Amino acid sequence: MQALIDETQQEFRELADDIAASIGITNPSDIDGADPLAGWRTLQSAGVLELRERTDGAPLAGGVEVALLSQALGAALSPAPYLAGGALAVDLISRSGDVNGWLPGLLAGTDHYSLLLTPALDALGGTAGEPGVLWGASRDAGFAVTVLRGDDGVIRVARRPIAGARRLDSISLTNELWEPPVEAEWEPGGTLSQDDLDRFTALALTGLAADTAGALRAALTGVVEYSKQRVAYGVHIGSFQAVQHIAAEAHVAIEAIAAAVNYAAWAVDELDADAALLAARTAKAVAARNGRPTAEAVMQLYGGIGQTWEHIAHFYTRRAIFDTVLFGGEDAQLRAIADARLGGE
Amino acid sequence: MDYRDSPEEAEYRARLRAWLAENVPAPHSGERTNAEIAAERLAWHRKLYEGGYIGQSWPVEWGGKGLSPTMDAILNEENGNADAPSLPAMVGYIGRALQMFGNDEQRARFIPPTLSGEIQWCQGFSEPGAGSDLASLTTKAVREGDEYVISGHKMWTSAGQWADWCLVLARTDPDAPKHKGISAFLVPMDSVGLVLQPIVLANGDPETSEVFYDGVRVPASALVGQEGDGWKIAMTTVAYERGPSDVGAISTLNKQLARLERHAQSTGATADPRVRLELARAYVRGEVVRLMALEQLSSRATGKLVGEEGSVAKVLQTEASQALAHLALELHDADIVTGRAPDVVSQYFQTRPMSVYGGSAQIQRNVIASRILGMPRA
Ligand SMILES: Cc1cc2nc3c(=O)[nH]c(=O)nc-3n(C[C@H](O)[C@H](O)[C@H](O)COP(=O)(O)OP(=O)(O)OC[C@H]3O[C@@H](n4cnc5c(N)ncnc54)[C@H](O)[C@@H]3O)c2cc1C
Repeated sequence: MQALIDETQQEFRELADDIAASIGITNPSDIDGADPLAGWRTLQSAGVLELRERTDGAPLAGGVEVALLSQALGAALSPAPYLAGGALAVDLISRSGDVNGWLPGLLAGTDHYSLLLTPALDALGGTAGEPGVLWGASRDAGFAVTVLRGDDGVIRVARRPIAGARRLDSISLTNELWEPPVEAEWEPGGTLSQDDLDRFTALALTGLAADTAGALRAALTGVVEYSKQRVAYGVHIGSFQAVQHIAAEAHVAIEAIAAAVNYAAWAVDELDADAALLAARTAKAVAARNGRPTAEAVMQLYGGIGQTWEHIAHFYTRRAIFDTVLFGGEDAQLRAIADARLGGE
Repeated sequence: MDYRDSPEEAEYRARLRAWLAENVPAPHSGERTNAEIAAERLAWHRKLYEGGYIGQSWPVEWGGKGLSPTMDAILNEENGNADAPSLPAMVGYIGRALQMFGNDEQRARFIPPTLSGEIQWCQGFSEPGAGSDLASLTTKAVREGDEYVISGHKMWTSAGQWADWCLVLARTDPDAPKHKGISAFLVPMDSVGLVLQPIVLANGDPETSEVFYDGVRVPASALVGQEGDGWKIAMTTVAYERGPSDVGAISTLNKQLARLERHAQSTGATADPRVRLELARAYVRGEVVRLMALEQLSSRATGKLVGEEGSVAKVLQTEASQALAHLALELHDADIVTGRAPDVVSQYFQTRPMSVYGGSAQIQRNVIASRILGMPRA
């Protein structure tokens, strides 16, 4: 039992932090007219798009690396849709055996993929009649992927072009969401087992929770620094105990997410699918519960300036809310956890 | 990173499980006196010792087995899952202090009987005027020839009435700065001049006590470390006291959640969606404590000493225990009011001081803010 990242993972984390810092946002104005895909070339050439590519059944890198990178991208407020368009799309297609050869274009950075989610954003969507939402799209080009369940019960990955898609007003200024075009034909790909799908969901939940942990950690670090400079009543605001306790609680909240994320990230590939999903739901439940309140605490500690559009604080709050809603918030995870532990209702 | 048991851990776990299946006493039903509970704990301590499970992660030369600290997590998990009595907590922190700061003679004399449960310890740190601000303690120890004479008034000496020895903090240098003039002593509870008065807690049990030291004489060899080392020793002790596995908290949380889930299933409460959410939330909170403890034990396994990160675990562990007790109150409905669920009520009151002892919830937040986040002092 070794619940700490090892040396190789530590090195990967440093790389991830560097990559993320180079494609992140530090000022609200950075986002104006910015292309979310501006950093895609960096990700592609760093070789991180293929982390979840499977050769001989095993992915190139485990869930831990995806979580470390997601955490770094969250901390840097990177608008590059890595989790959806990189890690998850590759994971899904690769699990299906990539029978149609979609991956080379994705990994080369030329074809962009997004995930089609249900209108409630709580799972992969794509059943007939519901338009759903695209996560990971950054322009009206490229493909949406989803899974389709046939009448025979067989689960297949499928894609279709998204030309004509329309950008939605995502709550997160660093995570775009798009409305798919009027339905085009799905192009079916390889098949997936329920086990594959559960592990994919576990990776999605864990990646989102990791992104939240990263964003909150960066937000807290920022405001703690601010508290050492900002003066009120002749002293630094960081010396007020009321301020310290809010910061300390935020720290505990973030550490709680991180502990659950680390385990879930490892579990994605290492435990039974059921156990992996339970660990991921646990991490997502903690992230969803702590995400928005912790981001709000950071805004509070900045005082008035933290409430303004020009301040970076609301970017973290928006990102945390975005991460919370995707693939289900706290209650959705808890319901599933209760079913797993107490038996279904 | 690998949360799976190593081959040695798996073997250890299997052996432990089999041992627990043989040895866990049948659970009691109905009310028990405090003395009965204490006796049950002691009996379980001795049993565990005979099985080789006490002090297992301690160095071999001091009666331990030199096992990885992660084995303590397994012991916690399995002890809880087997619905066994609580793990002895004092060994995990007062025993540690002895092992880390005692001289060879003290270790040889005290550690074996501490591990075996022959000697039970208590912690004489707090005073009426020194709780959170522990360093303002005024109990003094004056050197007279080969002896120290201890005088003062200690509060909250938990399990003092069941203890044989006490680790006592006393001021040896009234002129030194307040953190520097404190020393630690090993004091027999049957010393002449030592008078113990039980303190009954809100659950009605005399779990703790106040202790008066009226010229209690101990030999100079009762001093732990050097004069002035008391603060360092106390801080190490409380750092271990904050560790969820060191005090057996993971075991207790697992056990209580499993019991509550069974209760909710037996009453049909699990049909209520809100109850399901709350039970799942309790599971999530417990998982976070368990995983945080695993990280901290893994860090110890690399040779790192315990530090401020214990405060994070303490806050989470306190919240998990208190929230679980709230849920238990709720799920036992009217029974908690009519006296039909005395264990649940007692359990609830037992979780209240968790945010007071070992450094209050506010003190833990002070520690996190100043030492982990580096926020400026007032
Ligand atoms: C059941 C129980 C068992 C105990 N067992 C032991 C034991 O075995 N051995 C032992 O030595 N001690 C023991 N203690 C004592 C325990 O460590 C103290 O109670 C604790 O440190 C708080 O001290 P106090 O009670 O004097 O409260 P105070 O220090 O008077 O605190 C009162 C309130 O003020 C707050 N406060 C104080 N200082 C600050 C600050 N700087 N910032 C913010 N808030 C602050 C506290 O959080 C608390 O809410 C036990 C206590 C209890 C209740």
